[in-house]
Amino acid sequence: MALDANTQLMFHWIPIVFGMFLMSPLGEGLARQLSSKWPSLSTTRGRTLGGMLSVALGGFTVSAHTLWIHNKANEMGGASFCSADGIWDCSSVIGNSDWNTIPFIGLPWGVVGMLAFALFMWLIISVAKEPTASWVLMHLKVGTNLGILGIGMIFYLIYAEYDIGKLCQYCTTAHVAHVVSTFGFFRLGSMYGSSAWGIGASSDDDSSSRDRKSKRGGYVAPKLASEEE
Amino acid sequence: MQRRNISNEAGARADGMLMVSVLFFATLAYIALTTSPVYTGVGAGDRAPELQGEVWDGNSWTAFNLHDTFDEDWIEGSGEGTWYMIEFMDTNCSACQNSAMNSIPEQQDKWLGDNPRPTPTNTTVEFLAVSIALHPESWSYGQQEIKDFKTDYNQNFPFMDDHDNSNSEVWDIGGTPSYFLIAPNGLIEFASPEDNSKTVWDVMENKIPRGDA
Repeated sequence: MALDANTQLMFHWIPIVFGMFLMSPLGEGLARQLSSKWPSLSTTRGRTLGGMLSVALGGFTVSAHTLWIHNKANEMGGASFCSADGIWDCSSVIGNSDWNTIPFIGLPWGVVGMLAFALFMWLIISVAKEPTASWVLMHLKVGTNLGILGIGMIFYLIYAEYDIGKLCQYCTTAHVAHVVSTFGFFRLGSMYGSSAWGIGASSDDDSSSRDRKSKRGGYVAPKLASEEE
Repeated sequence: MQRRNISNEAGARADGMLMVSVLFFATLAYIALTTSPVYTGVGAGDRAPELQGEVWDGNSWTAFNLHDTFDEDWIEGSGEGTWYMIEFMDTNCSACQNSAMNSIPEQQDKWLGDNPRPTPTNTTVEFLAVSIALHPESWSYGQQEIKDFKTDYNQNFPFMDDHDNSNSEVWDIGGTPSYFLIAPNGLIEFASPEDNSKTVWDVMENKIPRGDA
């Protein structure tokens, strides 16, 4: 049974909604339950990073799907690969040759989305793995600035939708994921250096971890799973 | 000691980079393997851009859209399909008038005449002239000029009115006559602006399959 485009879109919303829920205060209960498997989720920082990773993954998959639709439409000559239902008509937007690529460069917007969310995921994963590293603040700043730049691009694409007279549900999903990820970077930036970041609480663990690393001559598996953050 | 710590920090970034790179390139590979995009353009191998307007068929002006004639599923050697020879011309241009007097009569007899060059069953060939305005300020244009040109040169195929140059701008026509051969799936097989080593008539003879006489 073939799934229509709107049903397929729901699969992209699952990680995004899950991530947004995890990032919100409502997600604390769920995070507590999941913390037995992923201990990092017991902290606000861990919940935010986990939620952002889930949102960015959803943004990445929907961007990839957008690129697939773009390519398929060009392969089959503009045939409808995307659901058209009134104002929500992704075919008219993704298939519009005047607006569906970056001006001057000609790269499809789906590729840009994939690159942006891949970069977000890298920033998030590396911060999650080493939250006390010297480069964490730089990563958060890069994520925040990239997010702001992306929001500028989103305004341009919303203008494109206004010009075309249709809204693209796939593009809007990617935009939502981008805005939520940007919000997450702002939140992490304000959290960094404060007690919510957990540096003070983990400083003893850090020194013991460093001692163990020096004794073993490099990386050693953490004693506690919470040290993996 | 300090170096080890830095290496460990770098390890977190490298691990993250590895994971994200695998995800990124695996996704890109999947997209590349499952799609084969053909971009719209005016060169051989491109998908023909929009070409629409009113055409004079000798009796009346009717709306025509080239894309409506395409069969997206057509592949070479498959069933029915219509090949289009598109000529962008100007009724005032002397090279177009020469062509209308010399090469086109012979070719329209060969492809559209009573005893046309044989093609497989369900394969047809159509000619379409698109009348553009090269010098709208100094030369005279109008639908009557198109009608007169078609009658004077005894051309038995339709003429499109593109005196507002809306189509010629999209097709990037720099001079006339310019010839294109379009396959039934809408892909451009030949474009004279980019290849003047052969004529559209030679390409038609080679590309359009031959049927039983």
